[in-house]
Amino acid sequence: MPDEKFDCIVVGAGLAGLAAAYQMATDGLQVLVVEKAKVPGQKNVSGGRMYSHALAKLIPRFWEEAPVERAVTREGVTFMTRESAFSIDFESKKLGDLHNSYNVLRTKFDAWFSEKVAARGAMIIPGARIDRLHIEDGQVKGVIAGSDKLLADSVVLAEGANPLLAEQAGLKPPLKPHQTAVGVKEVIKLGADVINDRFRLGMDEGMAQVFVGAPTSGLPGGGFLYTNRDSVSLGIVMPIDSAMGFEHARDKRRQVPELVEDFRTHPYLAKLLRGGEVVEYSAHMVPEGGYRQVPKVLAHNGALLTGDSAGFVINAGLTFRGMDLAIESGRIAGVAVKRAKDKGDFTRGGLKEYERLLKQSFVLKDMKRFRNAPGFLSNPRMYTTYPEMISDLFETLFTVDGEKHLSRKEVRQVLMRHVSPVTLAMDALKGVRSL
Amino acid sequence: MKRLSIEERLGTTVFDQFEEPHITVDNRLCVDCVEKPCLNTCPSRLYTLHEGVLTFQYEGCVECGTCRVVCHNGGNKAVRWTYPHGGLGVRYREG
Repeated sequence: MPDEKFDCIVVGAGLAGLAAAYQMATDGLQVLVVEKAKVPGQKNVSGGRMYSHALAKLIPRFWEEAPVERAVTREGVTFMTRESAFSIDFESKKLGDLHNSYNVLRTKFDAWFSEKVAARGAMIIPGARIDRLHIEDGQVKGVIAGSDKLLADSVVLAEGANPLLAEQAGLKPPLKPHQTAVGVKEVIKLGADVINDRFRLGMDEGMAQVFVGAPTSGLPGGGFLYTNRDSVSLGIVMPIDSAMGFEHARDKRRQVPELVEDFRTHPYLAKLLRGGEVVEYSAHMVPEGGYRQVPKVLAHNGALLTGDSAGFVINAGLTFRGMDLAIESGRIAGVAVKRAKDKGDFTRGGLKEYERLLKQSFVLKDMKRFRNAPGFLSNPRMYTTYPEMISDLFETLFTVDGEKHLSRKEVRQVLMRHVSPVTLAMDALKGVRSL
Repeated sequence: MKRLSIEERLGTTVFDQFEEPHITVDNRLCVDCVEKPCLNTCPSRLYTLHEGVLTFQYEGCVECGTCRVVCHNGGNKAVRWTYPHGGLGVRYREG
Protein backbone atom coordinates (compact mmCIF):
# COMPACT_ATOMS: atom_id res chain seq x y z
CA MET A 1 0.00 0.00 0.00
CA PRO A 2 1.29 3.47 -0.82
CA ASP A 3 2.46 5.63 2.09
CA GLU A 4 1.98 8.99 0.40
CA LYS A 5 -0.91 11.28 1.22
CA PHE A 6 -3.57 11.74 -1.43
CA ASP A 7 -5.63 14.79 -2.22
CA CYS A 8 -8.63 12.50 -2.16
CA ILE A 9 -9.50 8.88 -1.46
CA VAL A 10 -12.65 7.69 -3.17
CA VAL A 11 -14.41 4.76 -1.47
CA GLY A 12 -16.18 2.65 -4.06
CA ALA A 13 -15.66 2.16 -7.79
CA GLY A 14 -19.29 2.53 -8.78
CA LEU A 15 -20.51 5.27 -11.06
CA ALA A 16 -20.41 8.03 -8.41
CA GLY A 17 -16.91 7.16 -7.24
CA LEU A 18 -15.52 6.70 -10.73
CA ALA A 19 -17.04 9.98 -11.93
CA ALA A 20 -15.51 11.80 -8.94
CA ALA A 21 -12.11 10.23 -9.58
CA TYR A 22 -12.29 10.96 -13.32
CA GLN A 23 -13.05 14.63 -12.64
CA MET A 24 -10.29 15.02 -10.05
CA ALA A 25 -7.64 13.12 -12.01
CA THR A 26 -8.45 15.27 -15.05
CA ASP A 27 -7.79 18.32 -12.85
CA GLY A 28 -4.42 16.90 -11.85
CA LEU A 29 -5.26 15.84 -8.31
CA GLN A 30 -3.64 12.84 -6.61
CA VAL A 31 -6.54 10.42 -6.35
CA LEU A 32 -6.87 6.92 -4.96
CA VAL A 33 -9.96 4.78 -5.56
CA VAL A 34 -10.46 1.84 -3.20
CA GLU A 35 -12.91 -0.88 -4.20
CA LYS A 36 -13.92 -4.08 -2.42
CA ALA A 37 -14.35 -6.18 -5.59
CA LYS A 38 -11.31 -7.81 -7.20
CA VAL A 39 -12.15 -6.01 -10.43
CA PRO A 40 -14.29 -2.85 -10.42
CA GLY A 41 -17.81 -3.75 -11.46
CA GLN A 42 -17.87 -7.27 -10.06
CA LYS A 43 -19.96 -6.24 -7.04
CA ASN A 44 -22.10 -3.68 -8.86
CA VAL A 45 -25.70 -4.23 -9.88
CA SER A 46 -28.41 -2.07 -11.39
CA GLY A 47 -31.76 -2.73 -12.97
CA GLY A 48 -30.29 -1.85 -16.27
CA ARG A 49 -30.94 1.53 -17.88
CA MET A 50 -28.72 4.58 -17.71
CA TYR A 51 -29.76 8.02 -18.93
CA SER A 52 -26.78 9.26 -20.93
CA HIS A 53 -26.66 13.00 -20.26
CA ALA A 54 -24.56 12.91 -17.07
CA LEU A 55 -21.73 10.72 -18.30
CA ALA A 56 -21.71 12.52 -21.66
CA LYS A 57 -20.57 15.66 -19.80
CA LEU A 58 -17.44 13.82 -18.65
CA ILE A 59 -16.86 11.62 -21.68
CA PRO A 60 -18.59 13.06 -24.77
CA ARG A 61 -20.15 10.40 -27.00
CA PHE A 62 -19.09 7.70 -24.52
CA TRP A 63 -21.51 5.26 -26.18
CA GLU A 64 -19.18 4.97 -29.17
CA GLU A 65 -16.57 3.19 -27.06
CA ALA A 66 -18.30 2.05 -23.87
CA PRO A 67 -19.74 -1.47 -23.56
CA VAL A 68 -23.38 -0.36 -23.64
CA GLU A 69 -25.96 -3.04 -24.43
CA ARG A 70 -28.69 -1.32 -26.47
CA ALA A 71 -30.00 2.22 -27.05
CA VAL A 72 -33.51 2.40 -25.62
CA THR A 73 -36.01 3.22 -28.38
CA ARG A 74 -39.03 1.48 -26.91
CA GLU A 75 -40.66 2.19 -23.55
CA GLY A 76 -43.40 0.16 -21.95
CA VAL A 77 -45.64 0.48 -18.92
CA THR A 78 -47.75 -2.54 -18.05
CA PHE A 79 -50.49 -2.87 -15.45
CA MET A 80 -50.66 -6.50 -14.54
CA THR A 81 -53.01 -8.80 -12.69
CA ARG A 82 -52.40 -12.52 -12.26
CA GLU A 83 -54.12 -13.21 -15.59
CA SER A 84 -54.01 -10.03 -17.61
CA ALA A 85 -51.69 -7.28 -18.78
CA PHE A 86 -52.59 -3.80 -20.03
CA SER A 87 -49.65 -2.06 -21.69
CA ILE A 88 -48.73 1.36 -22.90
CA ASP A 89 -46.12 0.87 -25.60
CA PHE A 90 -44.15 3.79 -26.95
CA GLU A 91 -41.64 3.46 -29.74
CA SER A 92 -39.55 6.25 -31.19
CA LYS A 93 -36.46 6.22 -33.34
CA LYS A 94 -35.81 9.70 -31.99
CA LEU A 95 -35.05 8.37 -28.51
CA GLY A 96 -32.21 6.40 -30.07
CA ASP A 97 -30.99 9.29 -32.21
CA LEU A 98 -30.86 11.46 -29.09
CA HIS A 99 -28.83 8.81 -27.27
CA ASN A 100 -31.31 9.39 -24.45
CA SER A 101 -30.61 6.20 -22.52
CA TYR A 102 -28.82 2.88 -22.78
CA ASN A 103 -29.39 -0.50 -21.26
CA VAL A 104 -26.24 -1.51 -19.43
CA LEU A 105 -24.80 -4.43 -17.50
CA ARG A 106 -22.72 -2.91 -14.77
CA THR A 107 -19.97 -5.48 -14.40
CA LYS A 108 -18.79 -4.80 -17.94
CA PHE A 109 -19.67 -1.12 -17.96
CA ASP A 110 -17.98 -0.18 -14.69
CA ALA A 111 -14.85 -2.15 -15.58
CA TRP A 112 -14.60 -0.03 -18.74
CA PHE A 113 -15.19 3.21 -16.82
CA SER A 114 -12.55 2.31 -14.23
CA GLU A 115 -10.02 1.84 -17.04
CA LYS A 116 -10.86 5.33 -18.31
CA VAL A 117 -10.31 6.67 -14.79
CA ALA A 118 -6.98 4.87 -14.47
CA ALA A 119 -5.91 6.26 -17.86
CA ARG A 120 -6.50 9.76 -16.47
CA GLY A 121 -3.94 9.04 -13.75
CA ALA A 122 -6.00 7.99 -10.74
CA MET A 123 -4.72 5.02 -8.76
CA ILE A 124 -7.20 2.20 -8.24
CA ILE A 125 -6.75 -0.45 -5.54
CA PRO A 126 -9.30 -3.23 -5.99
CA GLY A 127 -9.93 -6.09 -3.57
CA ALA A 128 -9.71 -3.67 -0.63
CA ARG A 129 -12.45 -3.62 1.98
CA ILE A 130 -12.40 -0.43 4.02
CA ASP A 131 -13.20 -1.08 7.67
CA ARG A 132 -13.63 2.49 8.88
CA LEU A 133 -12.87 6.11 8.24
CA HIS A 134 -9.74 7.58 9.79
CA ILE A 135 -10.95 10.59 11.78
CA GLU A 136 -8.77 13.03 13.75
CA ASP A 137 -10.41 15.77 15.83
CA GLY A 138 -13.63 15.49 13.89
CA GLN A 139 -11.89 15.77 10.53
CA VAL A 140 -11.93 12.80 8.14
CA LYS A 141 -8.29 12.24 7.12
CA GLY A 142 -8.31 8.92 5.39
CA VAL A 143 -9.49 5.33 5.58
CA ILE A 144 -8.46 2.20 7.43
CA ALA A 145 -8.32 -1.23 5.79
CA GLY A 146 -7.14 -3.95 8.16
CA SER A 147 -3.74 -2.82 9.44
CA ASP A 148 -3.30 -0.26 6.64
CA LYS A 149 -4.04 3.39 7.16
CA LEU A 150 -4.40 5.42 3.98
CA LEU A 151 -4.19 9.18 4.37
CA ALA A 152 -5.85 11.91 2.35
CA ASP A 153 -7.03 15.50 2.67
CA SER A 154 -10.51 14.39 1.70
CA VAL A 155 -12.64 11.27 1.27
CA VAL A 156 -15.43 10.91 -1.26
CA LEU A 157 -17.91 8.35 0.07
CA ALA A 158 -19.36 6.46 -2.88
CA GLU A 159 -20.11 3.27 -1.00
CA GLY A 160 -23.40 2.62 -2.70
CA ALA A 161 -26.81 1.80 -1.29
CA ASN A 162 -25.51 0.14 1.87
CA PRO A 163 -23.31 2.93 3.27
CA LEU A 164 -21.69 1.23 6.25
CA LEU A 165 -18.82 3.73 6.66
CA ALA A 166 -21.02 6.82 6.54
CA GLU A 167 -23.48 5.32 9.04
CA GLN A 168 -20.73 4.12 11.35
CA ALA A 169 -19.15 7.60 11.40
CA GLY A 170 -22.54 9.24 12.03
CA LEU A 171 -22.45 11.12 8.71
CA LYS A 172 -25.93 9.93 7.81
CA PRO A 173 -28.80 8.27 9.68
CA PRO A 174 -29.27 4.49 9.37
CA LEU A 175 -31.39 3.20 6.47
CA LYS A 176 -35.07 2.71 7.24
CA PRO A 177 -37.29 0.03 5.64
CA HIS A 178 -39.81 2.53 4.26
CA GLN A 179 -37.06 4.56 2.56
CA THR A 180 -35.19 1.63 1.10
CA ALA A 181 -36.20 -0.90 -1.52
CA VAL A 182 -34.84 -4.33 -2.27
CA GLY A 183 -34.29 -5.21 -5.92
CA VAL A 184 -33.90 -8.74 -7.22
CA LYS A 185 -32.82 -9.46 -10.77
CA GLU A 186 -32.37 -12.40 -13.10
CA VAL A 187 -30.33 -12.10 -16.27
CA ILE A 188 -31.89 -14.39 -18.87
CA LYS A 189 -29.99 -15.36 -21.99
CA LEU A 190 -32.13 -15.47 -25.14
CA GLY A 191 -29.87 -14.56 -28.06
CA ALA A 192 -29.81 -11.26 -29.97
CA ASP A 193 -32.04 -12.39 -32.85
CA VAL A 194 -34.72 -13.76 -30.54
CA ILE A 195 -34.73 -10.50 -28.59
CA ASN A 196 -35.00 -8.42 -31.77
CA ASP A 197 -37.94 -10.51 -32.97
CA ARG A 198 -39.91 -10.86 -29.75
CA PHE A 199 -39.51 -7.29 -28.60
CA ARG A 200 -39.75 -5.83 -32.11
CA LEU A 201 -36.36 -4.16 -32.02
CA GLY A 202 -33.83 -3.29 -34.68
CA MET A 203 -30.15 -4.07 -34.29
CA ASP A 204 -28.79 -2.30 -31.18
CA GLU A 205 -32.25 -0.97 -30.32
CA GLY A 206 -33.45 -1.66 -26.80
CA MET A 207 -36.51 -1.72 -24.62
CA ALA A 208 -37.28 -0.62 -21.08
CA GLN A 209 -40.52 -1.82 -19.55
CA VAL A 210 -41.98 -1.36 -16.08
CA PHE A 211 -44.77 -3.44 -14.55
CA VAL A 212 -47.26 -2.52 -11.83
CA GLY A 213 -49.46 -4.85 -9.79
CA ALA A 214 -48.93 -8.59 -9.94
CA PRO A 215 -45.08 -8.55 -9.91
CA THR A 216 -45.11 -7.50 -6.27
CA SER A 217 -48.21 -9.50 -5.40
CA GLY A 218 -50.28 -6.31 -5.26
CA LEU A 219 -47.96 -4.59 -2.78
CA PRO A 220 -46.04 -1.35 -3.44
CA GLY A 221 -43.11 -1.81 -5.80
CA GLY A 222 -42.91 -3.01 -9.37
CA GLY A 223 -41.27 -5.14 -11.99
CA PHE A 224 -38.80 -4.24 -14.73
CA LEU A 225 -37.51 -5.67 -17.97
CA TYR A 226 -34.51 -4.32 -19.87
CA THR A 227 -33.11 -5.80 -23.06
CA ASN A 228 -29.38 -6.38 -23.22
CA ARG A 229 -27.45 -7.39 -26.31
CA ASP A 230 -28.25 -11.11 -26.05
CA SER A 231 -30.05 -11.33 -22.71
CA VAL A 232 -32.75 -9.55 -20.76
CA SER A 233 -32.60 -8.22 -17.21
CA LEU A 234 -35.83 -9.07 -15.41
CA GLY A 235 -36.64 -8.28 -11.82
CA ILE A 236 -38.68 -6.65 -9.12
CA VAL A 237 -38.04 -3.76 -6.78
CA MET A 238 -40.11 -3.33 -3.65
CA PRO A 239 -39.88 -1.11 -0.59
CA ILE A 240 -38.42 -3.15 2.24
CA ASP A 241 -41.32 -2.34 4.56
CA SER A 242 -43.78 -3.84 2.09
CA ALA A 243 -41.46 -6.83 1.50
CA MET A 244 -41.43 -7.41 5.23
CA GLY A 245 -45.17 -8.17 4.95
CA PHE A 246 -45.41 -9.10 8.61
CA GLU A 247 -48.90 -10.51 8.48
CA HIS A 248 -47.74 -12.96 5.80
CA ALA A 249 -44.37 -13.81 7.27
CA ARG A 250 -44.90 -17.52 6.68
CA ASP A 251 -46.53 -17.14 3.28
CA LYS A 252 -44.08 -18.30 0.64
CA ARG A 253 -45.73 -16.26 -2.08
CA ARG A 254 -44.74 -13.13 -0.21
CA GLN A 255 -41.11 -14.14 0.02
CA VAL A 256 -38.90 -11.93 -2.09
CA PRO A 257 -37.12 -14.79 -3.93
CA GLU A 258 -40.48 -16.28 -4.96
CA LEU A 259 -41.99 -13.04 -6.25
CA VAL A 260 -39.47 -12.83 -9.06
CA GLU A 261 -40.26 -16.43 -10.03
CA ASP A 262 -43.99 -15.66 -10.10
CA PHE A 263 -43.16 -12.71 -12.32
CA ARG A 264 -40.96 -14.64 -14.76
CA THR A 265 -43.54 -17.39 -15.08
CA HIS A 266 -46.51 -15.01 -15.50
CA PRO A 267 -48.31 -15.86 -18.78
CA TYR A 268 -47.29 -12.51 -20.33
CA LEU A 269 -43.59 -13.02 -19.66
CA ALA A 270 -43.47 -16.80 -20.02
CA LYS A 271 -44.17 -16.39 -23.75
CA LEU A 272 -41.63 -13.62 -24.22
CA LEU A 273 -38.91 -15.52 -22.40
CA ARG A 274 -39.62 -19.01 -23.76
CA GLY A 275 -36.43 -21.02 -24.21
CA GLY A 276 -34.38 -18.59 -22.18
CA GLU A 277 -31.82 -19.53 -19.59
CA VAL A 278 -31.18 -17.79 -16.28
CA VAL A 279 -27.45 -17.02 -16.24
CA GLU A 280 -27.19 -14.85 -13.14
CA TYR A 281 -29.20 -14.04 -10.02
CA SER A 282 -28.48 -10.83 -8.14
CA ALA A 283 -29.92 -8.47 -5.55
CA HIS A 284 -29.30 -4.91 -4.47
CA MET A 285 -30.85 -2.25 -2.28
CA VAL A 286 -32.20 1.00 -3.70
CA PRO A 287 -32.52 4.16 -1.57
CA GLU A 288 -35.97 5.19 -2.77
CA GLY A 289 -36.95 7.64 -0.04
CA GLY A 290 -36.54 10.59 -2.39
CA TYR A 291 -35.72 14.21 -1.62
CA ARG A 292 -36.88 14.11 2.01
CA GLN A 293 -34.52 11.22 2.74
CA VAL A 294 -31.43 13.03 1.43
CA PRO A 295 -29.34 14.11 4.46
CA LYS A 296 -29.37 17.88 5.01
CA VAL A 297 -25.59 17.85 5.37
CA LEU A 298 -23.70 16.27 2.46
CA ALA A 299 -20.33 17.96 2.99
CA HIS A 300 -18.62 17.06 6.26
CA ASN A 301 -15.17 17.89 7.59
CA GLY A 302 -13.04 16.06 5.03
CA ALA A 303 -15.81 13.90 3.55
CA LEU A 304 -18.52 14.12 0.88
CA LEU A 305 -21.55 11.85 0.40
CA THR A 306 -22.35 10.94 -3.21
CA GLY A 307 -24.59 8.69 -5.31
CA ASP A 308 -26.65 6.00 -3.60
CA SER A 309 -24.81 6.72 -0.32
CA ALA A 310 -26.49 10.13 -0.31
CA GLY A 311 -29.84 8.69 -1.42
CA PHE A 312 -29.73 10.21 -4.91
CA VAL A 313 -32.43 8.12 -6.57
CA ILE A 314 -35.67 9.24 -8.22
CA ASN A 315 -38.59 6.87 -8.58
CA ALA A 316 -41.12 8.91 -10.54
CA GLY A 317 -43.38 6.00 -11.37
CA LEU A 318 -42.52 5.92 -15.08
CA THR A 319 -38.86 6.89 -14.90
CA PHE A 320 -36.33 5.45 -12.47
CA ARG A 321 -33.07 7.27 -12.11
CA GLY A 322 -30.00 6.70 -10.02
CA MET A 323 -27.05 6.26 -12.33
CA ASP A 324 -27.18 9.74 -13.89
CA LEU A 325 -27.60 11.30 -10.45
CA ALA A 326 -24.67 9.27 -9.13
CA ILE A 327 -22.41 10.37 -11.98
CA GLU A 328 -23.30 14.05 -11.68
CA SER A 329 -22.96 14.05 -7.89
CA GLY A 330 -19.55 12.39 -8.26
CA ARG A 331 -18.46 14.92 -10.86
CA ILE A 332 -19.58 17.80 -8.64
CA ALA A 333 -17.80 16.27 -5.64
CA GLY A 334 -14.65 16.21 -7.77
CA VAL A 335 -15.07 19.90 -8.63
CA ALA A 336 -15.65 20.76 -4.96
CA VAL A 337 -12.55 18.89 -3.79
CA LYS A 338 -10.45 20.76 -6.40
CA ARG A 339 -11.77 24.11 -5.13
CA ALA A 340 -11.14 23.07 -1.52
CA LYS A 341 -7.57 22.21 -2.45
CA ASP A 342 -7.10 25.57 -4.17
CA LYS A 343 -8.26 27.26 -0.96
CA GLY A 344 -6.33 24.86 1.25
CA ASP A 345 -9.46 24.25 3.28
CA PHE A 346 -10.87 20.72 3.56
CA THR A 347 -13.18 21.44 6.48
CA ARG A 348 -16.93 21.50 6.00
CA GLY A 349 -16.58 25.20 5.25
CA GLY A 350 -14.11 24.55 2.44
CA LEU A 351 -16.10 21.64 1.00
CA LYS A 352 -19.52 23.28 1.30
CA GLU A 353 -19.25 24.27 -2.34
CA TYR A 354 -20.40 20.68 -3.00
CA GLU A 355 -23.82 21.37 -1.50
CA ARG A 356 -24.14 24.70 -3.33
CA LEU A 357 -23.28 23.16 -6.72
CA LEU A 358 -25.60 20.20 -6.11
CA LYS A 359 -28.50 22.57 -5.41
CA GLN A 360 -27.83 24.33 -8.72
CA SER A 361 -27.59 21.01 -10.60
CA PHE A 362 -30.29 18.71 -11.89
CA VAL A 363 -29.45 16.31 -9.06
CA LEU A 364 -31.22 18.19 -6.29
CA LYS A 365 -33.52 20.19 -8.60
CA ASP A 366 -35.03 17.02 -10.07
CA MET A 367 -35.15 15.28 -6.71
CA LYS A 368 -37.01 18.26 -5.27
CA ARG A 369 -39.40 18.33 -8.19
CA PHE A 370 -40.38 14.70 -7.54
CA ARG A 371 -40.38 15.08 -3.74
CA ASN A 372 -44.02 13.98 -3.44
CA ALA A 373 -43.63 10.90 -5.65
CA PRO A 374 -42.68 8.51 -2.79
CA GLY A 375 -45.88 9.43 -0.94
CA PHE A 376 -48.03 8.97 -4.03
CA LEU A 377 -46.35 5.69 -4.90
CA SER A 378 -46.92 4.27 -1.41
CA ASN A 379 -50.68 4.35 -2.08
CA PRO A 380 -51.69 0.65 -2.02
CA ARG A 381 -54.50 1.26 -4.57
CA MET A 382 -51.83 1.71 -7.25
CA TYR A 383 -50.87 -1.95 -6.97
CA THR A 384 -54.19 -3.72 -6.44
CA THR A 385 -57.28 -1.62 -7.14
CA TYR A 386 -56.14 0.12 -10.32
CA PRO A 387 -54.53 -2.84 -12.13
CA GLU A 388 -57.70 -4.86 -11.34
CA MET A 389 -59.92 -2.01 -12.47
CA ILE A 390 -58.07 -1.58 -15.77
CA SER A 391 -58.18 -5.33 -16.37
CA ASP A 392 -61.90 -5.48 -15.62
CA LEU A 393 -62.61 -2.51 -17.88
CA PHE A 394 -60.75 -3.87 -20.90
CA GLU A 395 -62.02 -7.41 -20.43
CA THR A 396 -65.53 -5.94 -20.51
CA LEU A 397 -64.77 -3.76 -23.53
CA PHE A 398 -63.21 -6.58 -25.52
CA THR A 399 -65.77 -9.25 -24.65
CA VAL A 400 -68.55 -9.68 -27.22
CA ASP A 401 -71.34 -12.11 -26.42
CA GLY A 402 -74.22 -10.66 -28.41
CA GLU A 403 -76.07 -9.50 -25.32
CA LYS A 404 -74.20 -6.71 -23.58
CA HIS A 405 -74.04 -3.31 -25.22
CA LEU A 406 -71.46 -1.29 -23.46
CA SER A 407 -72.76 2.16 -22.63
CA ARG A 408 -71.10 4.98 -20.75
CA LYS A 409 -73.21 4.01 -17.80
CA GLU A 410 -71.88 0.48 -17.86
CA VAL A 411 -68.26 1.65 -18.11
CA ARG A 412 -68.96 3.81 -15.09
CA GLN A 413 -70.41 0.82 -13.27
CA VAL A 414 -67.29 -1.23 -14.01
CA LEU A 415 -65.08 1.52 -12.60
CA MET A 416 -67.27 1.96 -9.52
CA ARG A 417 -66.99 -1.74 -8.75
CA HIS A 418 -63.39 -0.96 -7.79
CA VAL A 419 -63.24 2.57 -6.46
CA SER A 420 -65.47 5.50 -5.56
CA PRO A 421 -65.50 8.48 -7.94
CA VAL A 422 -64.12 10.77 -5.24
CA THR A 423 -61.20 8.47 -4.46
CA LEU A 424 -60.43 8.02 -8.14
CA ALA A 425 -60.48 11.77 -8.73
CA MET A 426 -58.28 12.46 -5.73
CA ASP A 427 -55.72 9.80 -6.64
CA ALA A 428 -55.60 11.14 -10.20
CA LEU A 429 -55.04 14.67 -8.92
CA LYS A 430 -52.27 13.54 -6.55
CA GLY A 431 -50.66 11.67 -9.43
CA VAL A 432 -50.68 14.72 -11.68
CA ARG A 433 -49.26 16.88 -8.89
CA SER A 434 -46.49 14.54 -7.76
CA LEU A 435 -45.25 12.92 -10.97
CA MET B 1 -39.28 -21.41 -18.66
CA LYS B 2 -39.94 -23.50 -15.59
CA ARG B 3 -39.82 -22.25 -12.02
CA LEU B 4 -36.41 -22.46 -10.45
CA SER B 5 -35.64 -22.96 -6.79
CA ILE B 6 -33.51 -20.36 -5.08
CA GLU B 7 -30.69 -22.91 -4.92
CA GLU B 8 -30.85 -23.40 -8.70
CA ARG B 9 -30.80 -19.65 -9.28
CA LEU B 10 -27.92 -19.06 -6.87
CA GLY B 11 -26.11 -21.82 -8.74
CA THR B 12 -25.92 -19.49 -11.75
CA THR B 13 -24.09 -16.80 -9.74
CA VAL B 14 -20.35 -17.02 -9.09
CA PHE B 15 -19.02 -16.84 -5.53
CA ASP B 16 -15.40 -16.75 -4.39
CA GLN B 17 -15.53 -18.91 -1.27
CA PHE B 18 -14.14 -17.79 2.07
CA GLU B 19 -13.92 -19.19 5.58
CA GLU B 20 -14.85 -16.50 8.05
CA PRO B 21 -18.54 -15.43 7.84
CA HIS B 22 -18.95 -11.74 6.99
CA ILE B 23 -22.39 -11.70 8.60
CA THR B 24 -23.02 -13.16 12.01
CA VAL B 25 -26.39 -13.71 13.64
CA ASP B 26 -26.76 -14.02 17.39
CA ASN B 27 -29.73 -16.35 17.25
CA ARG B 28 -30.28 -16.21 21.02
CA LEU B 29 -31.73 -12.75 20.30
CA CYS B 30 -33.96 -14.27 17.58
CA VAL B 31 -35.82 -16.32 20.17
CA ASP B 32 -37.57 -13.15 21.33
CA CYS B 33 -38.11 -11.83 17.80
CA VAL B 34 -41.75 -12.32 16.89
CA GLU B 35 -41.72 -11.06 13.32
CA LYS B 36 -38.47 -12.55 12.02
CA PRO B 37 -38.53 -10.27 8.94
CA CYS B 38 -35.27 -11.81 7.66
CA LEU B 39 -37.16 -14.99 6.67
CA ASN B 40 -39.14 -13.51 3.81
CA THR B 41 -36.94 -10.61 2.72
CA CYS B 42 -33.52 -12.19 2.15
CA PRO B 43 -33.24 -12.55 -1.65
CA SER B 44 -31.07 -15.65 -1.24
CA ARG B 45 -33.28 -17.13 1.49
CA LEU B 46 -30.33 -17.73 3.79
CA TYR B 47 -32.40 -17.36 6.95
CA THR B 48 -34.52 -20.38 7.82
CA LEU B 49 -36.31 -21.83 10.82
CA HIS B 50 -35.46 -25.33 12.02
CA GLU B 51 -37.74 -26.55 14.80
CA GLY B 52 -38.24 -22.98 15.94
CA VAL B 53 -34.54 -22.08 15.89
CA LEU B 54 -33.35 -19.46 13.43
CA THR B 55 -30.41 -20.58 11.35
CA PHE B 56 -28.33 -18.53 8.95
CA GLN B 57 -25.79 -19.62 6.39
CA TYR B 58 -23.55 -17.03 4.78
CA GLU B 59 -22.67 -19.00 1.64
CA GLY B 60 -24.83 -17.70 -1.19
CA CYS B 61 -25.07 -14.17 0.21
CA VAL B 62 -25.27 -11.61 -2.60
CA GLU B 63 -24.31 -8.81 -0.17
CA CYS B 64 -27.35 -6.61 -0.68
CA GLY B 65 -27.69 -5.58 2.99
CA THR B 66 -31.45 -6.08 3.26
CA CYS B 67 -31.14 -8.29 6.38
CA ARG B 68 -29.19 -5.57 8.16
CA VAL B 69 -32.00 -3.09 7.54
CA VAL B 70 -34.88 -5.40 8.50
CA CYS B 71 -33.19 -6.94 11.54
CA HIS B 72 -32.43 -3.51 12.97
CA ASN B 73 -35.93 -2.19 12.20
CA GLY B 74 -38.50 -4.77 13.16
CA GLY B 75 -36.16 -7.57 14.14
CA ASN B 76 -34.15 -7.92 17.34
CA LYS B 77 -30.82 -6.46 16.15
CA ALA B 78 -29.21 -9.89 15.95
CA VAL B 79 -27.41 -9.31 12.64
CA ARG B 80 -23.85 -7.97 12.51
CA TRP B 81 -22.99 -7.07 8.97
CA THR B 82 -19.76 -6.42 7.02
CA TYR B 83 -18.57 -7.17 3.51
CA PRO B 84 -16.34 -10.18 2.88
CA HIS B 85 -12.59 -9.55 2.99
CA GLY B 86 -10.50 -8.53 0.03
CA GLY B 87 -12.65 -9.14 -3.01
CA LEU B 88 -14.12 -12.46 -1.87
CA GLY B 89 -17.80 -13.31 -1.90
CA VAL B 90 -20.19 -12.66 -4.77
CA ARG B 91 -18.51 -11.97 -8.10
CA TYR B 92 -20.94 -10.81 -10.76
CA ARG B 93 -20.25 -11.42 -14.45
CA GLU B 94 -23.29 -9.43 -15.65
CA GLY B 95 -24.22 -7.05 -12.82
